[in-house]
Amino acid sequence: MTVAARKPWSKPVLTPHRTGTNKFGMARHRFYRSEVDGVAIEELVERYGSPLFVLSEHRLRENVRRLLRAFRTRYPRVRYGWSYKTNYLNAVCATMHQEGAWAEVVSDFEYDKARALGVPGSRIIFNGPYKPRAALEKAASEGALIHLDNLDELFLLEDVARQMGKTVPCAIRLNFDTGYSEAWSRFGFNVESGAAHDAARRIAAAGVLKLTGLHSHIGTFVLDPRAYAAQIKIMAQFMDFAERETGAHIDYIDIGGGFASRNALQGVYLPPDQAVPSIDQYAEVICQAMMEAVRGRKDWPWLILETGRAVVDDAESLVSSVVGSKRLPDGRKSLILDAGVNVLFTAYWYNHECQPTRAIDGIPEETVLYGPLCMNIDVMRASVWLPPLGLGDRLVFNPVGAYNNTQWQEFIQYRPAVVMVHENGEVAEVRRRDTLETMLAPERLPAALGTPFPNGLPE
Amino acid sequence: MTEQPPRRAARLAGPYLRGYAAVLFCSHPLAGLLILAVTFIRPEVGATGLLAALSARAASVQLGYAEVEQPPEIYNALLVGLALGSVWSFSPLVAGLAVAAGAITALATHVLSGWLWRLNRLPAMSLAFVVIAWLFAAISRDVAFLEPARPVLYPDLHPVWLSHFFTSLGWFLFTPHPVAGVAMFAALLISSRYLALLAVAGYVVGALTLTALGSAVLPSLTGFNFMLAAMAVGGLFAFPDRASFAWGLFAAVVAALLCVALQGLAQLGLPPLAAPFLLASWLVMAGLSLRPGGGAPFLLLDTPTLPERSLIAARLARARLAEPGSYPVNVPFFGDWQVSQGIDGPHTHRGPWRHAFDFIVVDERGRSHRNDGGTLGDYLGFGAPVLAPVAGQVWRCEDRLLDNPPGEIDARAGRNFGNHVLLRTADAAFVLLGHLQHGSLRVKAGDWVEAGQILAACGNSGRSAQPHLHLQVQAFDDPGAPTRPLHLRSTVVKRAGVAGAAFSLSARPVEGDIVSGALRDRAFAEAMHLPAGRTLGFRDDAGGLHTLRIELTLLGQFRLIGAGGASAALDERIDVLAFYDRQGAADPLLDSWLLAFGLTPFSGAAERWTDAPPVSLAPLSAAERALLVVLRPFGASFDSRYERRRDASGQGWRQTGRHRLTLGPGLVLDVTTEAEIDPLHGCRELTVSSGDRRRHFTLVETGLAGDVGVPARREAV
Repeated sequence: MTVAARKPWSKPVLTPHRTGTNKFGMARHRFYRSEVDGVAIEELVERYGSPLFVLSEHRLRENVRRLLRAFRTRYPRVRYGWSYKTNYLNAVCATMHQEGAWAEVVSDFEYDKARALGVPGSRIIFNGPYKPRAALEKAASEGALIHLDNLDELFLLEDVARQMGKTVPCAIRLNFDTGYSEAWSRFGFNVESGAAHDAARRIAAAGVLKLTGLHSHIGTFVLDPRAYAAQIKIMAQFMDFAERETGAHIDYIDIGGGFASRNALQGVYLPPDQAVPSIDQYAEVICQAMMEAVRGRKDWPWLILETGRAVVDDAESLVSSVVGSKRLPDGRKSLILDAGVNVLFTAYWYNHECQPTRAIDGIPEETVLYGPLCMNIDVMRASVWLPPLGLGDRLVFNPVGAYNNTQWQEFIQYRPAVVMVHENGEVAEVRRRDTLETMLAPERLPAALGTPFPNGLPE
Repeated sequence: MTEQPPRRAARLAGPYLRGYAAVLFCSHPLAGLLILAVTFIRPEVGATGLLAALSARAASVQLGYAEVEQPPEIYNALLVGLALGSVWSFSPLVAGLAVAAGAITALATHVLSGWLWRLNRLPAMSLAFVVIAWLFAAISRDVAFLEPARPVLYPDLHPVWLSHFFTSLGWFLFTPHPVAGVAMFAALLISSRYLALLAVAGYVVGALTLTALGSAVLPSLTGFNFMLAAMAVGGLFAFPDRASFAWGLFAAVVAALLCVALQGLAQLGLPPLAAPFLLASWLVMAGLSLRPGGGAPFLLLDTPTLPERSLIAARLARARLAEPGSYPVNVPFFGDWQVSQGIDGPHTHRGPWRHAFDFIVVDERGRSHRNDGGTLGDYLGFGAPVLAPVAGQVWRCEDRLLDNPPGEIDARAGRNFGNHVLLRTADAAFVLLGHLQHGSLRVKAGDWVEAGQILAACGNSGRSAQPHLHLQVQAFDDPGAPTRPLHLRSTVVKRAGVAGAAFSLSARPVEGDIVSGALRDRAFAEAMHLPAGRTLGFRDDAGGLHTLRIELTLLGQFRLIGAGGASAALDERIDVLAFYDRQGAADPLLDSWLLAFGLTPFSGAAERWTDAPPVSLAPLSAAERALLVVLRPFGASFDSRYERRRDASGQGWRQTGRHRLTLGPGLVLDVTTEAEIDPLHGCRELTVSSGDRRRHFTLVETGLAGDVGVPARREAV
């Protein structure tokens, strides 16, 4: 009897089959990204330091043109308000205004910023739940589109109008349940409860205000365009009510923003290529709903879009450098980067795509990306498959154009510079890197505190 | 309220004076006064004429015929009365006959003008005169108590040929006195230099015709027939241009021949009178109006107009409208599209199919697709809505053909236009939209559609290599029917290398132009809205108050009227505010307004446009006016270029006009207008400058006339 030779035991391993395509057959078109619009990232970092935000003027303009073309070939009256809060770098706002965008602001600071950029008050849409009296006075006298959020604000504007002795046009923000997304009931007047109807009646009764528009914003990163069709239907019904019952003349329907960008929301299973509708798909559904809403009307209301994210997000990238690495106790690799959630605020809810700036040989492995803050929450990616990166290697995060340059924090680190690659290939620094002087500029040190260690250096 | 006696006299005399003037196709009361004076060269003749005219008018009023500006029975009866008075010596019987003849002529005028119009859309003109004059010629042969008038010898002037011209003119009023002819010619000059020119030219060719024939018929006797025929055909019942002038002269020749032909009637005791003129004019008018094709001369049979006025209207029409016969269609899409092939295009818009447009959507760099254009979805226009360019019925439609892949063409027979919609309009034009997207039709055959309704989506079916929209108007419903001239109405066109978007009421964009429909800017349209009853008060720099008001006339025309009664018609459409038909004396505010706003599109996208307002609206110096009379005796219009921008605050608008007229080398009239418009009050400031002359008006009050139960309103600005 012979004893069969026993094969040596080895630990079973499951190796994912990575071919470069995802399960929908979409291929990653590239594994690294070395340039932005033909300008080498390495050169940019050498010149402006790391980390670095890089804006593409070309992509920015293309995006807004594509958005407007998609809508204007389907509905004839479309206005676009650039949502300042999405990215109010002057260079971004100015590019948008050159493309014909109005300014959509939500605070007195943003209002002043738009005015300082040369936008006349009459081309500003003034949103937001808090508008101080002085801001309302300025907006009313300059002819801005004022969108009222609550009754107190309505009464305040009435008072302002009375004091000015003129009729002030205004709009009200509506909230309601479309059945598609969670209703944002904290902003504006509720339709289902009749609060919005009361507000419209109140405006008509006041005599000094004129309801000329309706605004609502159904949510953010809305992945189902049909939500907008439902929104427009409800707003159009309200428009009919307001015109019939209060004698108002509704000049525009502002559907806010909320279009998704090609970014991967954490917790969403499908990749953005699958989950995010194209601009044409949004346009088709929204314009169809508008056409139904305006049937039989002599003057069709303007459709105002305030979508910021879908326009600016992929027009900006964040370049960061690997400053350290370690193997975590569970075996995963981790890298420490010079950019963290202090500058990439959206890392809290997105899994940003990140790519090296050069082809790197080696087997990809699961990697955790940490930022430079001494905070446990400073995680740029909790899990991403990356080839072996070494010290000094760069990682490019994209899309990062929305909400980062406005929500970044002055926390621990100097905030990085922002450069814009122009359409002619030239590069301009549109925001300097923070310096000690800029960080300290707003501070005032009382004279009595001017000397550290008045009693000599402590032991 | 009692009427002031002079005003009352003017109101009562007005129809008579204008009726007298109508003898020479004029309307100016002064011309009527001159003609009245001429008839009284022999007072008994003038009196008989006046009696007949008064009697005719009284009969018409008694019968309830509508009051018109120039009652046609007046000049017909006048001529009958003059005939009676010149043939028979004045007596109570002649006066009685004149009264009877007047009333009969009134009846005949109304009966004959209606009959002739229904017969062949021809104007009766002085037909009633000829018929009733013949009637009385026949009657009077058997009346014993009538005494023939003593023959009157009229003097001749020198040179004789000139005297003959004036004498023949005088013959028309049975007053063959050269001085009468001179006065009548003066009346003609007052009313219309162009008609005077036609009279002279008509006389010359008519007289030459008679001379060439060696005829015994004297031009000095019958010449008014040639003149009137030339005037009627060449200037009054047709747009004055080279063609109508030539046809006018032709009518004069025909009239001369008829003078010869109708001589025989005189032997029967029926002198031809104005019959040669009438027959010649009708022959030419009817011949022209029955032409199967269009083209010059353009007849104005139902709206005869003094040629100077026609010229103003023609120049306005040329600046604003396409040529007559071109079919207007609305832009069949939303947003900016590029003309990829225009009329007489190099590819397929040729021969009988030359009147067509192809449209595509392009990006700012002129590319029609994203990415590499490999799939239909890459094409910017693919799937975009296609709108009905006209209201009508869906005559035929198809959307079962598959869209071709980019670069491929479906050239199989009968699939030229691919998926398509053929609309039939109420006036039997067929409008075709081709190459539509597979399965995109939203209408079916037999449906009635409104202009602007979404019909389908832009596709790539049929003879189409990339998604595009084909638009044509065709003569009948056959797929290969020849195309008809067409134009896009109310369109904004952007052209490479030209600054600003140009608005046009009738656009014929060319290849490469970016086209969009001119959408009404409601705020601007409401600011400029001029409802009936609106009054506007402006103050000039010297403190004088000027007013304008809007009235709706009995016939439904809106008119902008100045304080002195001068006025202009206005047409406020959904897309445009347009003024025309300026009448009455000069009025600085009205004229400034018309020059500044003559054609004002409501579209917010309209940055510039052109128009051709008459020069008479501008504040010109006496020297400039004198120069105009000499160099442009028939009137002239400016070449006006308008621009409109938002003001700095973005709340109001500023509309400027640059008006130029080149009179000769180095002789240019240059006038600018500037208007500031705010959304609440409309035009606040209005300035017209020409050299160092400047008119400036500031709005000080607006108001609304009252109505029964509605008190008038007036508000200071």
